[in-house]
Amino acid sequence: MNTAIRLARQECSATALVDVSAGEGASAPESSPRPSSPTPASPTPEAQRRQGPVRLAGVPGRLDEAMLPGDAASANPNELPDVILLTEANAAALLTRRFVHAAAAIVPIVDVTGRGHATKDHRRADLALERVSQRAIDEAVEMLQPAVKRLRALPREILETDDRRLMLLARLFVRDRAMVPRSEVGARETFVYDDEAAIPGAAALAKELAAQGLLESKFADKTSVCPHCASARMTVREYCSCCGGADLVEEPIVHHLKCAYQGPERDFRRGAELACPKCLQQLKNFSVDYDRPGSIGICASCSHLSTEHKVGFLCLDCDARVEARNVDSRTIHSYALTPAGCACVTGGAALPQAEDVSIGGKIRSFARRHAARGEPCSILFVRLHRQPEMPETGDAWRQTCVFFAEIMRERFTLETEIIDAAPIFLALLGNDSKDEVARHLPRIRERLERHLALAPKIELALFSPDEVGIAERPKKVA
Amino acid sequence: MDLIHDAWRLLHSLSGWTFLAMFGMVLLTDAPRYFIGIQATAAAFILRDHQPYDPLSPLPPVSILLAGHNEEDAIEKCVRSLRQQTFNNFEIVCVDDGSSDQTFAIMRRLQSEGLVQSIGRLQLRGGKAAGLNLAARIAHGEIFIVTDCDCSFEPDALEELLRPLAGNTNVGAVSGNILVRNWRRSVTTAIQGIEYLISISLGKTFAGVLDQVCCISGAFGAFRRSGWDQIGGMDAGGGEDLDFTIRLRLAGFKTVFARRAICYTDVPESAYVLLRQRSRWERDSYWIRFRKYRRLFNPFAQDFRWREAAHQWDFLLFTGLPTLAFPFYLGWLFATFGRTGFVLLAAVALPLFVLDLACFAAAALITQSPGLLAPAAVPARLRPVFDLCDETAPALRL
Repeated sequence: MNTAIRLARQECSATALVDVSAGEGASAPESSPRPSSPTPASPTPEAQRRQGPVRLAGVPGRLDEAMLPGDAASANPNELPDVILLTEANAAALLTRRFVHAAAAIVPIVDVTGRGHATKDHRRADLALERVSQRAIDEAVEMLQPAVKRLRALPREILETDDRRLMLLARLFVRDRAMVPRSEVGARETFVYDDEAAIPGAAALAKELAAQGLLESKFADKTSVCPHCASARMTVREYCSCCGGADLVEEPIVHHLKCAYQGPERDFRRGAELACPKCLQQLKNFSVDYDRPGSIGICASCSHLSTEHKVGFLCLDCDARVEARNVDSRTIHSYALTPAGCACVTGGAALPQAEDVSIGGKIRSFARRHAARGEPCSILFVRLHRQPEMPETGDAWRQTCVFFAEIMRERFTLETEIIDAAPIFLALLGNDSKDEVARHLPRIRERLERHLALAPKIELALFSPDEVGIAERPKKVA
Repeated sequence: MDLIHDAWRLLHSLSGWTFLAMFGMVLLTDAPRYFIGIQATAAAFILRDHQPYDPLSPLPPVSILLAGHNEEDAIEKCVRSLRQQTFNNFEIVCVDDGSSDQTFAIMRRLQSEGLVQSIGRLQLRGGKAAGLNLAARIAHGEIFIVTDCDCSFEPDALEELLRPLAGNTNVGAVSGNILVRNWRRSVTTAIQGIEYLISISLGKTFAGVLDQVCCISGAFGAFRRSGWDQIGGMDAGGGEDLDFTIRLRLAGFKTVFARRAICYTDVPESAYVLLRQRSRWERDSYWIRFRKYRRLFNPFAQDFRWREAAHQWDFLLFTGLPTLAFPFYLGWLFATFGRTGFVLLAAVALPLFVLDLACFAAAALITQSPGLLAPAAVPARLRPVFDLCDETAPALRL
């Protein structure tokens, strides 16, 4: 076990937290001799931050002193508060003006506007008071005591960091909770993380931290998402398998026992009476003349009959009609702090920079690698253009892109890195100069287009490493 | 063996007139009907198999109607077999006729997979005819293909079944060729395999030449919607396929047999089940021919037609009367000749057995790979002799 994890486990234990909150020297066991302080000098600002009454700061204005609980004090303007109180509606927007980003994201927040859950600030606040009074604030501060203790245990570097990953770890550490998704109708993803309000891009950061082992991701839920726009806001609808219409009605089936004609009741209906459309005989007695052995759905648009209609989705964002089998899915995770994550926060060490996994980063890294070795290399840029005859709805375009990515992987050597950012694909061609590849470009095009029945237009562009400028517009070769 | 030896000696000892007296009926009726005509038909088709078929002409929309009761073991195989066809531009409509097993669940799954386009469910069993009528009501096609749920098909079966409908608008229905899938199971199924070959593969080919295809089998047949709607679909009661075909013919539609459209079905494995099946079939045939369409025998009836009277009289003379007369014949034979009756019976059966063998060989030839066995070249002047009026294969005309 590495030192960081061991340290984290100790730090994460409840005892350790309480001890830390009691002051720096208090974590030592009772029996161990307390180190003697050389001089009774005034405590450092850091030591001052970690002791004393809970310091409250009001945003946007100062808090009414009369409302402050007995064991709390108002924080000085240049002092980091233990709890922030939002005193006006939309005050959350002012947090970053008043405090550094890290402090605004990490320090616990109480919404004391009295609007409770109705305000936009609700997502930003850890607690929201329905009714504002000294007693209510006192209770809120009391509830936040454990969080305050953990906040005070954080090193100053964390509270001043610009690294949003550390902010997220510290935020979860202070609140002693996991980053849990919450369903929200208004969001495209239908699940949101409240922490996103404090740290924009928290979901992506959490994913990155989980890959580094600082957060542990757990399955929370799975949603169906539109294959066209990735929105999860979709309504389920039953529709006609023939025309796609949703105007479906259920009707009983009538069976004329004598002539074996069987069809929906509307075939037999003659005003108030029933008559067989085949033999024109009037049907009077149920189970003697006729039977009703079941029912059938009829599409009012195209009169198509079927007992079972198709079930599909209508995307509320892009209006696409998607068959159930073509719908994509997205897994939603919750993220909990791991011991290693705790150690990072309490240790205050900077996190290593994650590998640049963006397309530009990959290209730059590829170009740099080959330049260092003095080998030639080139980058082939391929873009698929959708043909007008390709259906707008359905899965055809996505499947074409997936298929094309497979073709790209098969057509180049195993060492060639293929970047799939459909409808753009990049082949990072090592050991081949741009001129060399340019000579073979017609053959490459032919090989790529050969397998596409409904061939989309393929645009090719070729770059040498020194031409790699992500912001520049690529020069067209073919 | 002694019995056969005695019978053989008896046949040898018969003088010319006695032989004629004894086998007169066989020579007059069975020999031409089952041997000469059938062999000529077989030879014609064998020779013409040298010509490749043209691609199928454009067809109106096609719907396959499947109505089944408790078919959970068979329905999926049937649908998947249909989807493997060389002709695959059709919709499949399934009707669950009051099944108590998983038939409907399988249909739903097949629909979700896109293999079946529409399904209907009946809580009460209404019979195959009613089920098919509902399927036809649901279907969108202009041509219906009706098949049993326990059938499987040769890959080009649908293409061959539809070929006559694509080539000739007068054709209202086409009967497919049905062979036995489980013929290796028992002696009973093997005998039925031979019987299906002779009676359907060969018999209907011959009947087709004479425009006498009077039963489009419910197991595998194709119908024009116009004809289906004109006569109001299937009627209630057993033998609905025979009844439907006769009504279609009476309405003026031509019915043909597509020998190359091969479908396989399972037949009863035990003698008891076979007996029940056949008694049901014969009962339905008698009822339909002698009760429902008795008027077709009468040349003075208002809607009398020779082509319908021919198959009616054929059934009466060569199926009805022999069946009725056979017990009396046996009684007379043993009452008159005693134990010698066995020898006489064997003596009659021997030449008939030879005829049956020849028929079986011809049926096997035209059903399997006849092209390989046919002469490589036929003199041009002989070709018209074999060019019988085959509506099923217009593209084959020499």
